[in-house]
Amino acid sequence: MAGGVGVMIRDVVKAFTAGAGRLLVLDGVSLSCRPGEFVSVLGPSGAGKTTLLRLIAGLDRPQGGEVAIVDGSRRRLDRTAIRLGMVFQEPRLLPWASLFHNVRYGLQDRAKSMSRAERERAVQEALELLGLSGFSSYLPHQVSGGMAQRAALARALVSDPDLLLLDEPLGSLDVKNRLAVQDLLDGMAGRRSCIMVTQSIDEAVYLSDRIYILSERPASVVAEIEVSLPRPRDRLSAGFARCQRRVLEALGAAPRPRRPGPDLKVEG
Amino acid sequence: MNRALLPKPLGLLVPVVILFLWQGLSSRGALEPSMIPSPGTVLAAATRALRTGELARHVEISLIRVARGFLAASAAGIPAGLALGWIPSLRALLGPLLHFLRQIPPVAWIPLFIAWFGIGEGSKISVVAYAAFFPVLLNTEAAAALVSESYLELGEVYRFSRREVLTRIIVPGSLGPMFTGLRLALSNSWRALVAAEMLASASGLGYMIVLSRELVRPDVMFLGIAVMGLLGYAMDAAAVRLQKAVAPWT
Repeated sequence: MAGGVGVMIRDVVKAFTAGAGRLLVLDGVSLSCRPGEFVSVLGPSGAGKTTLLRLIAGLDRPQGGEVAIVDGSRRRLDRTAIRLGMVFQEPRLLPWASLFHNVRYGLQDRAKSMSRAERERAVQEALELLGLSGFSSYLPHQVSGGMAQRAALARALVSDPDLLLLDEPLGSLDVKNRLAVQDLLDGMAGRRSCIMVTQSIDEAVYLSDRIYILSERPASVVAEIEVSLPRPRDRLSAGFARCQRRVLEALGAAPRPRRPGPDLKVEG
Repeated sequence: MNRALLPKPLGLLVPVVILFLWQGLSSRGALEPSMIPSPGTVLAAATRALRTGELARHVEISLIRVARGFLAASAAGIPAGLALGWIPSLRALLGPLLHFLRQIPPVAWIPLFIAWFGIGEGSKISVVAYAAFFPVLLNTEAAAALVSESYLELGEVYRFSRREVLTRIIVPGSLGPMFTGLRLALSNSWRALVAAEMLASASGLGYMIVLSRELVRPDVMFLGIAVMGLLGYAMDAAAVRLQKAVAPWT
């Protein structure tokens, strides 16, 4: 989509019926993602972060407010006009399809303009990008949880999506792969819009242009933090630490201020 | 689900012990031969029937009937089950009728089927097909209806066409229970066939048993029963193998 794709969410209300009662999950959430922007959403477990992503993907409808996919000039777009890549909290691979086919199923309309050889190349490239080149013929139950999650990422990226929705996508990866995938996502910054739900402050600060902090359920946005550090970001820099601290404070979990220690006296 | 075509050695222990006890009791005259012939006599009947080709003839006829009825039932039951599972309104429309029909024992239809399709192969194959149809249909239907919502959502996110939803999600997602249905259907067909052959036939394993009763040949009767069990066992084991080859994730 030329000019990029953004997301505008205004005063969204979403409740689920739970038993005889009604569980209010999102209570007037507003946030936006400009074209090409990387946005993270942090908040306590059960705050409704996943619900938010599902509303954006069109898998659920809000009871109030609006969720809109927009183009560069803020005109509303139909969901079918854009290519969406989504990584669920669990890999959600089809158990009967090889990793190759699982990734291929992510191609969407991009497949139509491709020859068979081009399709195969695109899928192999996506697998390779996620470090899965030797495993294309494996079935999901034959690989580890981390590998399955990386295959789900490959499936989300293979169509070169306009909008990427990530629901704690790196939770099951080991440290090495986690850092590698973070760098992969960092390398795409500015080129596609991405909204990521995460529990990791480090990850959010490393990747995001903007971070939204949600309150406890029923969720509303309690803070919006711009991260304007140059990329790739240096985790050991003072700016990075400052950002992390701001996020922590917004989450209401700021570390205790350090007590002043005894002064060192140098004598002699 | 990991059973080879032949039973594991441990599983053979009990049958072998029973055979020895049976033979032992027979040799000591503890069993009345006209009621329970000795294993040796049954074995002798088997070699005789094999030599004359009579056993092979009955087995062949029975197997062909089972195959025709079972295949017809599967060819109808699988697509019908997928359609019913996938389309809730169709399920609402036809569900009650199907659940009514499935309660009727296949054997109860035999007199009517004979009237409708004649005393020949038609009536017997129809009974087999009737017996096999419902397990295939109902298991496939339940599986297709219960294909995980999360996979359907995946199809929505990645814009699967209706055909792709069917071929990529519903059909492969239903294969496990579908195979369970096919295995149930196989043993149901076998039972229904024997009943049909005992009631109205001049060939097949069921007929062989009826005839041996009239001729007072308990050894042949036992032979027929043993062959039925063995064939049923082999067919089921083959179905399990097929499932492992076709749907290894189930």
